[in-house]
Amino acid sequence: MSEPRWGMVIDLDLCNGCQACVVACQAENNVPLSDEEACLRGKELNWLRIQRYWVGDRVVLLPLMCQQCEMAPCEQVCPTFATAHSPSGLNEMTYNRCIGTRLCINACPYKVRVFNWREPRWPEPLGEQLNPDVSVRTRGVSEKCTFCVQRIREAGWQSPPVQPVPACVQTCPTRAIQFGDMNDPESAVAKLAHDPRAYCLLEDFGTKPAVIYLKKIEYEPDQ
Amino acid sequence: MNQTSEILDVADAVTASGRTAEPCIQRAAEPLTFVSVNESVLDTVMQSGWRYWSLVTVLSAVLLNAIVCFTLQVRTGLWVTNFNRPVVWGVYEATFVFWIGISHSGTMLSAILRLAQTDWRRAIYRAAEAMTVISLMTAACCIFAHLGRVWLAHWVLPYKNGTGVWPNFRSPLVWDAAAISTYLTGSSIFLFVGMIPDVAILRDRSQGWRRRLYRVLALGWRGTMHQWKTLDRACILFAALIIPVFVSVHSIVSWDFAMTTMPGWHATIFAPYFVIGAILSGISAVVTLSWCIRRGFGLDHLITPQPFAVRLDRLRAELLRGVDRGRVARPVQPAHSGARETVPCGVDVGDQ
Repeated sequence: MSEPRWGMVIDLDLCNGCQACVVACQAENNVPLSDEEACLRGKELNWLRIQRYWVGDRVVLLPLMCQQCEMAPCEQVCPTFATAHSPSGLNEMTYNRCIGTRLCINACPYKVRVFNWREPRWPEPLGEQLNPDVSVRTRGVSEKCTFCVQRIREAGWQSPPVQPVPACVQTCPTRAIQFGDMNDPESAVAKLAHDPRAYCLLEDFGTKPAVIYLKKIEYEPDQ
Repeated sequence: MNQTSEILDVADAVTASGRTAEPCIQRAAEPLTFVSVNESVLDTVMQSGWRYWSLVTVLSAVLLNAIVCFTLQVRTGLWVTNFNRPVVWGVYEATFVFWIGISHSGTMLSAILRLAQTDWRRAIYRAAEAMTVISLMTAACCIFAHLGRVWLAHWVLPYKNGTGVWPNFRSPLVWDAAAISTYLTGSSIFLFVGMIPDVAILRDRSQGWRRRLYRVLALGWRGTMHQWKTLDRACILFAALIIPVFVSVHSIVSWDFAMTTMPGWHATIFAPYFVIGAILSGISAVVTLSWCIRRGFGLDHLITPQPFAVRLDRLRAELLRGVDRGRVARPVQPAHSGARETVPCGVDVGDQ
């Protein structure tokens, strides 16, 4: 059996920007809570953010997380192999190897990597709900979305193996986010990837992202 | 050529009539002998007045402040710097590039001008060489200050460490660590080997712990013809060896930026632009330093305006033209690669 190539399809037509995925990601992956001071200084930490931009007077929402590029610019520049490619196409972080040069953050064209500018903190009693499957990162370490690699690993241990579901996919109320094996032609993501609305972000950069977006359908206002 | 000759004319005029040149003309009346040159240079090392000690006090206070700030930063994280996405590098990286640039003048003056057998470099090249070594160390300090986990900085060096993996040789930061440590080693050797006869004079004139220190540094120099010949050969060899390093170091520093996909950074002009800019700022630093030494130690009769006002200005004018060319080409050149300046790298991350 060939290695899976994990991929994600996000239907922008279904996304209503509720940010449930952002909260789910924060809780699942022990992402430090950004307090008032952090937000005032523009240093919120989140692996997944709803990017908002305007087309005329209409808002477009785009859930943006690590694109798990096949040709990742961040991997090439890391001096200590703290970020490297896994056989299943994941762009993995080894936090213990990271020395905090932040060159990966500069290299990332999507700007989805975040840096721990200070020691992570959770106000009581939020510290009690940390996920034991995910390591807590110290100050001076770069981090990013992992496609919930701990869930992928756990799903692989089941017999028979079950389909892994990342936290954002599980939480999305409109099911805008789909996750699965791109190498499996029968999977939902592989089928959606051939949708005429499918596109990748910054395709001409040649990074070959594993996240595919389905374009928002434009409706005429008078219809 | 016009610009250059104008500068030459101005400098000549200053030498001939200006206030600046007067002390030199007065001192030049006394003929320079080996003894008088020795005396006035040795005075700068052997004697220290209240000015020297007050300068040491002020600089120590600055250093102490830096140590306190650095400790604070290591304990709390880079939060204190207020860097943020997408500008995750900031004044540390800029200062690092600046000091690496400054370090280029020493090799430029010593190595290239030594091979070109120019004599006017003699008055200033030792100071420039020392500046190379010291500014490289300053640059290294910036690199350490810039790291998120500075206590693991040695992991970029290829030796068996706790991670169990070699450094990633595709990373420009590994090239950087190699280039800078090579340059620091090379320029230190260059400085110390060139200094041997001078240190020997100091050894002969000094007492106590200094004598012991200089005895070690002088490596048993006796000033025989054989030793002079060997030294000369060694210096020419070092000069020839260090020139490729000198060009490659700042090219590699520029690749820290150019190897990323950041719009505006991702350009092949970066390496030559950095190197020529480095020599320009380095030579400007040598001019400033020479001025300080002339005035501070009263060496007007040894460091005449001729080398540093006339020759260096001429070099600077030529280099400035090169840098200008780079300045024009820099924004244009990435456009040739089809990179759009509007690639959404500059997304306002704060605006959500």
